Amino acid sequence: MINRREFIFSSLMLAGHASIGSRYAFASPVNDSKVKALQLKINCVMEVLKPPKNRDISIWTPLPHDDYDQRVTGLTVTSTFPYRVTEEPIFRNRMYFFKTDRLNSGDRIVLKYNLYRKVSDTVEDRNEKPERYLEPSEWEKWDDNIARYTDSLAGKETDPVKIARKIYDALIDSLTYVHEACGRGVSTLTFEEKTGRCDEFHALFRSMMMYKKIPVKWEQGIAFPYPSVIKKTGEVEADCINSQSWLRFYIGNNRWMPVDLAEAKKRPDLRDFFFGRLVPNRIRMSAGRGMNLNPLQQSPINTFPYTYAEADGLPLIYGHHYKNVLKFEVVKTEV
Amino acid sequence: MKTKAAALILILALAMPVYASEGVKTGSPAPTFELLDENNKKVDIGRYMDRPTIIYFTHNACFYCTQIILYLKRAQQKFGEKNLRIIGINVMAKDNKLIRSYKEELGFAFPMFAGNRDDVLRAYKINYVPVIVFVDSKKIVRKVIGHYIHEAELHKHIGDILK
Repeated sequence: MINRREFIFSSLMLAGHASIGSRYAFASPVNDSKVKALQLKINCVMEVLKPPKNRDISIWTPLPHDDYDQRVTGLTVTSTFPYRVTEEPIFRNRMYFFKTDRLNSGDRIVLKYNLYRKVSDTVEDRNEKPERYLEPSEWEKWDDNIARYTDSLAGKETDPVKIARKIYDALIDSLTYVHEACGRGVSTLTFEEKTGRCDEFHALFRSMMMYKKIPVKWEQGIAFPYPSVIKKTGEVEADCINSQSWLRFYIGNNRWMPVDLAEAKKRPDLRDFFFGRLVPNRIRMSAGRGMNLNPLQQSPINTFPYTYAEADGLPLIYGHHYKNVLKFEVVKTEV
Repeated sequence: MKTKAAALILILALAMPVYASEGVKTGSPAPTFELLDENNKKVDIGRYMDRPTIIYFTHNACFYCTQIILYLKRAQQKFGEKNLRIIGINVMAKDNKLIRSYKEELGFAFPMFAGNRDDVLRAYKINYVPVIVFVDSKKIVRKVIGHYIHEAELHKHIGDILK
């Protein structure tokens, strides 16, 4: 049973597909909103392109691990550098830390694992303390304009789901999605400029929700192609362009509901879907923003969805010194 | 039906203004600041805007941004330093160390400044990179591009500020 919005969008896209082709391949039998889970084999490669002139090299690679929606099994690491597993204390993000005084062009760190990712839904978590997710990062502080706008939307509503839906719809309607840029995710600038990518959409949503005293978690990872267009094998660059954020807000009774405003903006046919569910074409690498890695990095980190590296305390230049590629093979699509 | 119509009117009434901006406004003077250069010396970037100027906001984690550096190097050669000024601002950098390292690694000669400052980022409304600001010889912003740009398009916009 599809709703009216899905029917209209599907009809339009089908017509467009027939004439000019479509990214969303409606000829495919897979309906993105019906996919229950994806099983993937992942080969995550960090490769040195041009070794930096500096010698004291530190590399942090996020270690994907199990959560509400994903299972990571069979993980192996291959590296020419010594490494250890560490964890930062605030968000409990785990990572591999590599240290070396010499990098050579072509040096690689390779992580191989199996990923089972299911469609995200509202989850119950009795171990979380919701109040800790009322604390904005340095990029999510709100001003009077955001507060006034949030009040005008929420009115006297007190139900967190209804407040969230009002904010969700207002932001999707008002913001313009920007491609081919790397976001800083600053709420006040997003509110003023009304443009951005996932980090900007989600920073502003989080600010507005926290202003209404509704806790919101930030999750961060890498996006794969949608199930309707994904090929048997492929690769995505694990960089700021393919980085993907999403949120879970607290609805009471230890329950957390996922949302992804940016994907809802990009896929109007899934607007209702992304309020409460997430298509499983993603992997979570970390949680939170503005974290301190372990051991501590020298430069501030906004988010941590892919390998970060420093030479003598200065961040390496992505695409010049190194690159991250996430190769995948689809083992099974559960519908 | 009436309820739906009322809800729609309410949503429209509450919607944020619908314009989408790409940062500092075209037609307005380019904001100027004293910023740290690669030698940790404070420099008024307004002094560099004595001819048509590109102000380029970038950082280290952005591959598209690194590609644009190559285009800017070639643009400087094509159009000549006497005709076109290029100023880089690295929004990750708080001091000269990162700037110096970035310039050495990518091998460009145009000045770059440490731009990890709230006042600078707010004035130019930098919420993502790359951002390319095209400024004419009267220090007026003529165009702002807030995403990756192909070389031909870059040259077109340079041509516009050189007129």
